[in-house]
Amino acid sequence: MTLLAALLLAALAGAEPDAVILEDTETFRMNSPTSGEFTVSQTFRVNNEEGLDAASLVLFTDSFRELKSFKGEITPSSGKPLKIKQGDIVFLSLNESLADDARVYTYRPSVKQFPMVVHYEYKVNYRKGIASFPTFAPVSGENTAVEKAVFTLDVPEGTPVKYSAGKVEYSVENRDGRSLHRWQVHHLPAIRLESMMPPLRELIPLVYSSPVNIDYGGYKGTQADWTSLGRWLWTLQEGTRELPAPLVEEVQAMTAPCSTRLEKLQVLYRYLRDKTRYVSIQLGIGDLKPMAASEVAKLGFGDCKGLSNYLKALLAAAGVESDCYIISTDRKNLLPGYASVGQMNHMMLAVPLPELKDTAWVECTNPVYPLGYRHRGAAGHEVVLIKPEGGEKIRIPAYADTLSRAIQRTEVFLKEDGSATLDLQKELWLDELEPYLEFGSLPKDKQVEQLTQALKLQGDQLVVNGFRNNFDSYASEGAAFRPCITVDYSMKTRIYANGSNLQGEADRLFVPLNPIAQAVDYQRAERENDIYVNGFLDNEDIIVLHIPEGFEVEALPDDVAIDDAWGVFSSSARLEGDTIRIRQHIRLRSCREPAQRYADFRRFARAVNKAYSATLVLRKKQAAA
Amino acid sequence: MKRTLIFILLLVAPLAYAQHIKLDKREGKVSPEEAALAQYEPDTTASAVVLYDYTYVCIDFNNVGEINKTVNAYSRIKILKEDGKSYADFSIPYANKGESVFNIKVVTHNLEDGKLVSTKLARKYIFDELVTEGVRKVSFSAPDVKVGSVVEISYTFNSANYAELEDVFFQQEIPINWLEADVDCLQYLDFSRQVRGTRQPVFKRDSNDRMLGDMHYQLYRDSYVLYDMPALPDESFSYCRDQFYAAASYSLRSIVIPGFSVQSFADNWSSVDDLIRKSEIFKECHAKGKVIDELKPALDKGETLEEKVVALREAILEKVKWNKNTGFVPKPASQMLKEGSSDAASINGLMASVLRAADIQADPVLVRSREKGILIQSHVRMDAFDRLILCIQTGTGTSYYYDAASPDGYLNVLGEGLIVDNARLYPMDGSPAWVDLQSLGKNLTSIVVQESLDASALAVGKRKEVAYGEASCSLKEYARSFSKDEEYISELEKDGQLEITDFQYDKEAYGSSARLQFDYEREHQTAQGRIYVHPFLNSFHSQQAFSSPVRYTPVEFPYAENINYRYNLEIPEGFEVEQLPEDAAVKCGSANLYFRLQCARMGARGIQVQFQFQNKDMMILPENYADLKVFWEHLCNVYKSTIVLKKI
Repeated sequence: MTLLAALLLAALAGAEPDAVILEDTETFRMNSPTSGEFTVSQTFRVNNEEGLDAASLVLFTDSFRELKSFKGEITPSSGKPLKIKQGDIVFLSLNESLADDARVYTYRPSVKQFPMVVHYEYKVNYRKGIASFPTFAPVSGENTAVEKAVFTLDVPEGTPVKYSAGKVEYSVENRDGRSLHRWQVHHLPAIRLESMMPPLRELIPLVYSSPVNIDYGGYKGTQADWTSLGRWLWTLQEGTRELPAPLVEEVQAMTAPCSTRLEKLQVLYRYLRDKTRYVSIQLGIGDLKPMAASEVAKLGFGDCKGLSNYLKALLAAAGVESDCYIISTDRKNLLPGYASVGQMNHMMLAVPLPELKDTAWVECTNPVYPLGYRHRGAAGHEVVLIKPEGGEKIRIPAYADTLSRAIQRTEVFLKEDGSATLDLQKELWLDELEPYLEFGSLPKDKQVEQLTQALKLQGDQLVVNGFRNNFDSYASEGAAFRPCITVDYSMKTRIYANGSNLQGEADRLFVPLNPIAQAVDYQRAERENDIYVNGFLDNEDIIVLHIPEGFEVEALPDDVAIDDAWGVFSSSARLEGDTIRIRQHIRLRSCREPAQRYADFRRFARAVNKAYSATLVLRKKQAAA
Repeated sequence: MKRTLIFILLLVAPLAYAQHIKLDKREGKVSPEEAALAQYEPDTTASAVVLYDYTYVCIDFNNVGEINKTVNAYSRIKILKEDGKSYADFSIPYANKGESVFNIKVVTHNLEDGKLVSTKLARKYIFDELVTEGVRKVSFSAPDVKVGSVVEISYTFNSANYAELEDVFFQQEIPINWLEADVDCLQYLDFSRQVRGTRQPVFKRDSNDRMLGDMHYQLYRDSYVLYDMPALPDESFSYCRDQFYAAASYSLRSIVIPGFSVQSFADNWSSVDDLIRKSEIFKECHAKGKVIDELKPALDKGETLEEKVVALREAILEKVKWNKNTGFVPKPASQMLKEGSSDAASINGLMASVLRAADIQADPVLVRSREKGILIQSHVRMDAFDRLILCIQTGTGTSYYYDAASPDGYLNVLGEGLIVDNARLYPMDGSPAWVDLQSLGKNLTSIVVQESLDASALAVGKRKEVAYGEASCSLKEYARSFSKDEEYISELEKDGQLEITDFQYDKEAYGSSARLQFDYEREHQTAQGRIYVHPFLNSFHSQQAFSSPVRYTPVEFPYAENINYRYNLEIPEGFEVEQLPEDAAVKCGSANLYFRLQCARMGARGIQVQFQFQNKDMMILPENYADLKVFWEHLCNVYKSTIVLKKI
């Protein structure tokens, strides 16, 4: 594509996106079950500085993938092409783990003469195994259009492959002993990123493909379906669950007094918390194969696979069966009809507890989660249990939306100078409690920071008076268990209410109705994408304000009651003797609404925020005439 | 600056008393008592404490007569709480060539059934990886770590780069019970030394005789000992926390080896100046050539110097875009043109060359940016500076300091990172001199709001804001942080519960001021015949800024700030003013911060609220933090002021 042609296309296109992918040709040639070559040729027209992201190179490699060659060229508007050499691209380790052989190669054009055309050609060698073929995701940034993008999967004829491609145009051709599977995208308009929009993967073309039969890091198997993939993952775990004999004896001694499986699980979960911590090591096949349980025992650390496998081994030593399972904590649903380990990002442990008619879905990387709780990265998610007979796909039970709640109770002892003493309590259920799981073990300054970060007033002398939970209730409630954390705290503030006289006695006090509530976020602009709210919010604030002696109510804000597609909101303030009882309650619903309805949502959000920021007015009592 | 200097160099009596926790410091000699320790009494909130730390730095000849730098490090860390376990993870970066890390030993000690059980980390769990071009890292995690564990770690680091000596830190983000450090250096290397921090170690200097073949020489030893050093937490309003850690800095002044020519580095600022003058920095600010000649005509587009500079800047950026990097050594103009973009230092270098070709005096100014920490003039160092800007002088001797690359700056408007009180000017003709960039002009935000109200408490208004000086830079940077105007407007609306129309802000405007205006609607609260009006559409300062009860490091403000806010309200017919906010004038007890609020009636139906804020201090010391906190509460309270109107 010459610069002239690229610019002509631009002229014909009308209103411009930030960048256009003029052509993207990607070919994966499978040479053997363990090796292949991925060849890419991409040409971008970058119309402005915002489009540079789309035209930046980001390429991941690891011990199974190696960058073999690279070249590129930038043709700025001045017309003279500049070469990009392999030495110009920067590589970095991912730095997310203690050790990780994953690397990322990056290049961002430094030339800024728009419009300009950027062209890359590179080749990546695959070796030691292929678990999945490269994902075809031609759209790489916001406001980026695609003229033409093609992904060709070139495999020996008869090689079974599988794919998940949504509505992307597909064809297959057999030629010269090869099968060419081809996916194509033409004339895709740019997508604008907005808050509260549907997941990007629903809006952009994505093709996932993988070989049915795999030979990865020396381990052979099939991933025709979850059953066979699960069986392959089981083989990776073979030999990793032996524990040293003294540890087995220790486990048996620890659990000897236990009469139920839950009690054994509780003992060993506590043992896991006391003796281990999460450290990620992703080297070679180590990103799929767990560290041996005996190693985890010796080192006292492991990643999600290592720790889940370790707890499984400990439970087995105590006579309790369990299954490791793989899960995506980001997505609730797996791709229909497409089994691949690449969809998963985590491993946990499922422990059936027939005495409670429940299964504990155990998070081994952070044993502060209460047993019996299905955290927000797991509840309602499709997962695959790894069993010797193969993988079993199931869905972890979700919680009803209405059960996740936060209740903030505040008693305010207001003084006539506007200062106040506050007694507060946070009561947090299900999802809402997750940020507070480790609160009890935080140092005081971190506790204060966590409690005050969202306050709209400056607090002093904050004291945590109590921190409790109901985590032991799982034993009696079983599947009906709903974990809750309660934090009691108190504080003083020099300025709770704004006095009408800053430096002396006020004859009016302007009191914020709710200095604790968080505003509902919204944007202003016309929207393009559907409005997508995923997850439920239920926050209730109950404030009892003691009116200082000598003062009376001059004005209370009007009650507010809203109930519409977005949720329910109510606000009230009632005088009860010498106190004012304030109650504000919001429940936002999960929903998906067309973009045209955003003005309604904005009205809803503004009405809520207005109620949150209202004030009540107290006035000094007039002396009797 | 003076106060800052005193804070940093404060020479309090060195710590002469013994460490809080007594222990045997030899490697491997961890006691059951250390493992049994449940908390660190001087700081019970600490999640971990360094029980003992020893660093030995040695710059000496190796066995083949090359000078090498070797660091032997040993640390013993007690894990006290769950979140302290992260101190058992280690990562040591090193250069791919000329450096190495080896002899790594990691042992964890736990008390189990009253006995000390020790677990060593196996070699295979020490990972050595390539991070990026030229940089590797060794990383490892101590085994069997629990709350209560004592972790010992030791390693050796070797480097051929003996000329650069990293700071020896005496303070960390967790407390230190006992620290010792020895720095041995060849007699032939002359390092200047500067110690900083509010608590300083006991220091001793000594020497040892050595031999290399037949050659006798000496190793000079600096020894440091300290006990019970408190942690230094990460705090907001701080540009460079490292500068406040207690530490010793070394800077090489010269190398004098018999039989070899003397190599001088930075023994005084004159030697630094000489090196700068001989460097590419100077050369590229006084370059000649075809590119320079081609750009010169751009200066003809302006009458005044200011106009000429702006016109030239446009012409340069037409050919060479700023790549958002700051840089330090300018590239040659030909390279810049070829690449089509370059860093700020290069753009400034090119600008200086063109101005000089037109007989306009433009000289490089080297700055140590605030993110790098305060430059202490008494501590001469080669790497003192990291930024290059310009000083452009008029014929009448007026100086303009300028960073041509920044879209938000202007002449004498540099951006908060460059506002320092000791930058170094290098005139082409003349001696280098220290210059103060903190008082180049007045930084002022001036806001006028005109609002009228109807009887239903619906208000319509117009808000006009003009920001001058560094305030304009700040406004522009904030506006630029939003990828779309709509997002910026949305943020303004949320802040003040406004509905904004006719938003006017030109983000491409370039100058010493920035203008923003919009029309708006908002609803005030009403009850029983009264309307409660908030004269402030938004708060200028955050209530959360200084919520921490104590402060360990100075508070650093972006610039000396001035705000003038005038709110004019036309009240509706049938209403009268029942109450205005009381006038107030509040000064911060021990710092130069001040605000004033004045409210007055203007005619039959007018009200005017005037608010002035002034902050002349760019730095507030920790001992004055309590005053600042109280002042800040009152300041943020003013933004909630309310006017009460009553129906007649």
